[in-house]
Amino acid sequence: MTPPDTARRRLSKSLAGLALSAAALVLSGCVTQQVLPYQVSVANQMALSSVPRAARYGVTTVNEPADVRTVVRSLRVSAPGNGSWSDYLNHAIRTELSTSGHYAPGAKAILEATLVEVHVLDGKAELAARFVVKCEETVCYDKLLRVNTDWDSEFLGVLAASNGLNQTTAIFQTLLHKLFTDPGFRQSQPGCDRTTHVS
Amino acid sequence: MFNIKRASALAGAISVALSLSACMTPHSYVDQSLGEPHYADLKKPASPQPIQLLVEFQTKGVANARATEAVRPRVYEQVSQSGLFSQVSYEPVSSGRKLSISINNVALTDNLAAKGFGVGLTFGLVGTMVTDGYICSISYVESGHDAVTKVVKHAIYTTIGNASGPAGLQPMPLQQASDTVLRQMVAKSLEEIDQSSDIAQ
Repeated sequence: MTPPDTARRRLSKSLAGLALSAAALVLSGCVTQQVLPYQVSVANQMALSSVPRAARYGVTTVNEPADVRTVVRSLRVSAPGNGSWSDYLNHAIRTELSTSGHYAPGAKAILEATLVEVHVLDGKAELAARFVVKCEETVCYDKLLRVNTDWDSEFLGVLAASNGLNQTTAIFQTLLHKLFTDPGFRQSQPGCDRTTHVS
Repeated sequence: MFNIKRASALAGAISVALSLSACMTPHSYVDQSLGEPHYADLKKPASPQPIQLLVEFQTKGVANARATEAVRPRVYEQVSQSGLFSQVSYEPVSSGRKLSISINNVALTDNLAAKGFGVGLTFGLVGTMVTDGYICSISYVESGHDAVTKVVKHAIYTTIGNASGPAGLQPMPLQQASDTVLRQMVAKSLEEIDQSSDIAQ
């Protein structure tokens, strides 16, 4: 083997090593970041001001959503704590209702939320959940609510990821805003002796 | 073989880059339209009442959980020190009174990333100034009354690289500018809500 051949082989090996390292870095670059715990939305609190002050709700959430896609560029967005989006929704509802004085764990009226879909991608997000208000065995509100949003995707990955995290918490607030401003929900009083709202 | 010429050139380039990097330090300037708070001027109620405080920080209209966490205790402290309320709580109060403060950070200068990239490429020789707008919406809610809402606006100007700041304003670090803007906006909002609502009755 001539000296140039040896040099070429060494160069090829070095380049291959570099390429493998780069590929490994790219593949391992998908990191997971948890969103912060849910925080009260001023708009939601204003909406809940229209719910009669005496109204109290317990909260349950069931099942993890089957359709979860939460990846912004190389960032996988996850729910805080145990990573359960269903638990995150439960915490979100309890936070809003507690802050407005409408939460009571032993209340007759139970707000049952089932998260159906969580999509957070680069530049768009979509969330869907079914909300049922039951008073003992009577269903007085039952609706599937869906919200979506989109935003300008940032050129820089770090800004895109930061936007994705903010938009994730924001879309949960938006979903609850849709619930709290729904006239059907506002009329779903403990006692549930009013019109049943189902869609 | 070790190349003295190339090594010297590289060392020179690094030195120039390091010396120029001082130009990259951002300088912030707070708009002078609001000024410092004067709590003594507030119409203090004879019998202050407890209030529930709600605080939210948004970036371009979207809730920003991390920023909310950071500003909430400072807003709480400021509202408590205003003397307008007997007690400030994040929990509901029996009277149902609420004070909500929502701050929205909006960029008043477009294409920040591109400008910053240009400044970086030239090691600060080409400077730029960006303006951050802040919109503070304050609402006072009392049972049996219409909500009273006021809006206060503020701004921070930040220069990066070889750019001069607005005339007559003092440069300061960004953190100090953010603290100043928050303090001045909340104080002005409290003043406006005090003048337009029944808090002092």
